[in-house]
Amino acid sequence: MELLDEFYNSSQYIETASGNKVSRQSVLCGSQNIVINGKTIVMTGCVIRGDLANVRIGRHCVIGQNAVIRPAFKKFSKGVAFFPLSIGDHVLIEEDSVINAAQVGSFVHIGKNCVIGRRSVLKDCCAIADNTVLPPETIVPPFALFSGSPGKMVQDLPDCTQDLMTDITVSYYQHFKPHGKGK
Amino acid sequence: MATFATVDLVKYLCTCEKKFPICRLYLCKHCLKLRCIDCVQHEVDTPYCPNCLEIMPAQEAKLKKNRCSNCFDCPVCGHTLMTRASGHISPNPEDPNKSVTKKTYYLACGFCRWNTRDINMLDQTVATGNWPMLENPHVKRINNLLENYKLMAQVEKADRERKKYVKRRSHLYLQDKFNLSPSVMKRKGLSSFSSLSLKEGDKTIEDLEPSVPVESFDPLPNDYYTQPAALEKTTKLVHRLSVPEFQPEDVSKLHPINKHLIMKKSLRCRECEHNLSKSDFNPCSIKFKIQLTALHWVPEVRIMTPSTFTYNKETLVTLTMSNPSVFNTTVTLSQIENETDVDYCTAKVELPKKELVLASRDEPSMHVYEDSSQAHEFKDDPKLIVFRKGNKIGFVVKVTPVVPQGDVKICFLLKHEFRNTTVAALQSESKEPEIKWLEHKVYLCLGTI
Amino acid sequence: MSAPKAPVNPNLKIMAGALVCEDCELIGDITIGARTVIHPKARIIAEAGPIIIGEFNIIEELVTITNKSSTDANSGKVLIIGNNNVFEVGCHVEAIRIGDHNVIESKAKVGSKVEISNGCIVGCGCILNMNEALPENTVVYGDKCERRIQRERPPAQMLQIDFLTRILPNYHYLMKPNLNVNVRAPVKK
Repeated sequence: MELLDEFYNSSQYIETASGNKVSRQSVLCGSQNIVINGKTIVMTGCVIRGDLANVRIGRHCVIGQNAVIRPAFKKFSKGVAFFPLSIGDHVLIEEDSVINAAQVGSFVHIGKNCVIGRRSVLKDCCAIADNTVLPPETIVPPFALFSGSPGKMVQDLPDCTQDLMTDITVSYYQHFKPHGKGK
Repeated sequence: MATFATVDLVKYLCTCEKKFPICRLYLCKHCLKLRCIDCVQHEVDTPYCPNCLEIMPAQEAKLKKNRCSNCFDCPVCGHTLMTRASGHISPNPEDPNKSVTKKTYYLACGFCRWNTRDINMLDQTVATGNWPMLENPHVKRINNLLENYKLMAQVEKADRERKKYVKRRSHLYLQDKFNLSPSVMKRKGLSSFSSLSLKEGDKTIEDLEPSVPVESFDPLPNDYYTQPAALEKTTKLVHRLSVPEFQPEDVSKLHPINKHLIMKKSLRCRECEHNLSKSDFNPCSIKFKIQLTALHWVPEVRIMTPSTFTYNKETLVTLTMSNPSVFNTTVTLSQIENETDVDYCTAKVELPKKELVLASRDEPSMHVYEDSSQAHEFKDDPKLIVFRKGNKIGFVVKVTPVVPQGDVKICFLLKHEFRNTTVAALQSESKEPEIKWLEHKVYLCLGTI
Repeated sequence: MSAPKAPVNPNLKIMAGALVCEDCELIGDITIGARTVIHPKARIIAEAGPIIIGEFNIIEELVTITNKSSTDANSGKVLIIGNNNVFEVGCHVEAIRIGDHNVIESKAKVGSKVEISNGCIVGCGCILNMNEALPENTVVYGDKCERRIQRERPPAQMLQIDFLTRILPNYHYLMKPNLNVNVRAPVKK
């Protein structure tokens, strides 16, 4: 199925020079620590906690509504520090998910209402099904589909996942248009 | 968002008569046929642990029964166990006034909060642990049986080799049944005819005594009827079945389970023996040495928008087709004669009669948003072709459902040009590569009435 | 840089040392103990009765703690939360009494009829609705809300509270503690 045009109220979204479309109703704490590389869409209600640690988000990502992106903390012998969180390119994060991961690779698809546990590592080209709970410190290998609570590997993703994710994220960005501007 | 959920709407028919979405199919360039995951030969490249992502050589994996030695699963919930440290202050044996902080390590689950202290397992002093492993009580008997069967299999193999030559590519499974892989056989010198009979000094096949069946059980003790069941201390069926050799009944006997390895596979076409998919050695990498997915060679058909259907009324449905090759491709659609799968004939479809020309796939222009009007370049019929953008076109088919209720499904035959663009082919032919026509059957589920 | 803020909540009592971000929604009669950290976008709504939150708690974003009005006996009672609890992102709590050292994980829902004692962990996504009192050191986990008793209570989060106390003031407006004073003034430290 092809994606439909999704229209948004152009006053609701800020479009930056590098092509990012960030909703005004999203909460970006510590925005000086948040780096978004370009052509990424951050939808309404998202919370990105850049105040706890640096957050880097790659190109052509889509962060769905009400998602929470929050760096995880690590206890060291001398205290606690929050891990910087880096999210790769072409990542699709759907609504209501809570991402506490330490690292998210590229070409990853995270479903709706998921909870990614603390200090988890999601490698490239993996997918997390809807409503999954990944316990803390889970490592998700490439081409794995995790589902359930606790998240376990259920299926292998096809070899062409990289092309599929690129296509989905790029076409989502192209179809995300402000009101008033036609095709 | 339409992603993996709607991928199943358009399916292509594989040569083994099964239908798969195009992302799961491979195109063998030598036989020029579609192959699916079921009709290819799987070969194990490297086993690796899904947690530590460490590669284990295949021989070592067989010895360790495909389990990782460093990573453990929680016996209660199945999640991976983490090593936690706890400081332990104890008086220094040399100097009673100072106290030494020793760090001890234990395994804990982050999900159900089970840890090794629950089963009274001693904390280890080393972070990598030498976590005590339980010995399987039946291991001796199983090893005896295995040895015996290996000897019997050798004798059988020798018998068979006397009668006929071994085929070059017999099914790997049979050869490997008792660890007699070709390399092992060569080393034992079994593939030569001179060693067809058992040498002197080899073990003879022993007569192992068969297992004694248990005839009578003790009756259930009365406690089961009078005492209340301590359900918190009893393990569940799931816990017992995950360790079939022990099957503990008490929660205090649950032991961390070594993590199962997963395999990196390479796929090979059964008919022409060429590799279809070979991934990189490193488990973390997503690159492929050989990747012949159908998505890169066969035009992909997608449904543009969902439409509503009414019985016996013609509806215009827009489909899109995208061209994966770097050359302009011509595509024709035609009806399927004698379609056997009745499930997919719930609607009559009127296909475009003319050939459709798809533009080449050009990476840089894919990200340009403005419609560089290619319509005049290709002289499109506006009634047939709805839009043209890059290597994609949207075209119209007329669908008439013939059933009053149920799914509306159509099928047609897709013929397209195929140019073999391997480096060798391009070098050998001075002009353009040879054009071959491939045809595939496409099945679509358009919606419900 | 201070824009006109929402109307002052006269019933809000914040003890000294508590860290309450400006961006949260605090409605009703709420008392917040010392060294408690409340992240932005948390919602604490004391509809049917007052809420008393103890010390050293961590309440993360998108958490809703509600003292809901209902027709059963709990209506009008005080919702008391003890010390050293952690409420992770996105959980909904209506339980009338919560003890000490508990952890309510992400997206968990605890209904109003539940009473949580000490050292319990309610796992991610677990929903507790029935009328019950959780025994000490219970762990509720999994999508079927299985339970087990753990040996020791969850570790305290002192290190995290220290860290947050140091860095949150750099990025957020905070509500000034007003022990025994009814007027609050938002101040950026």
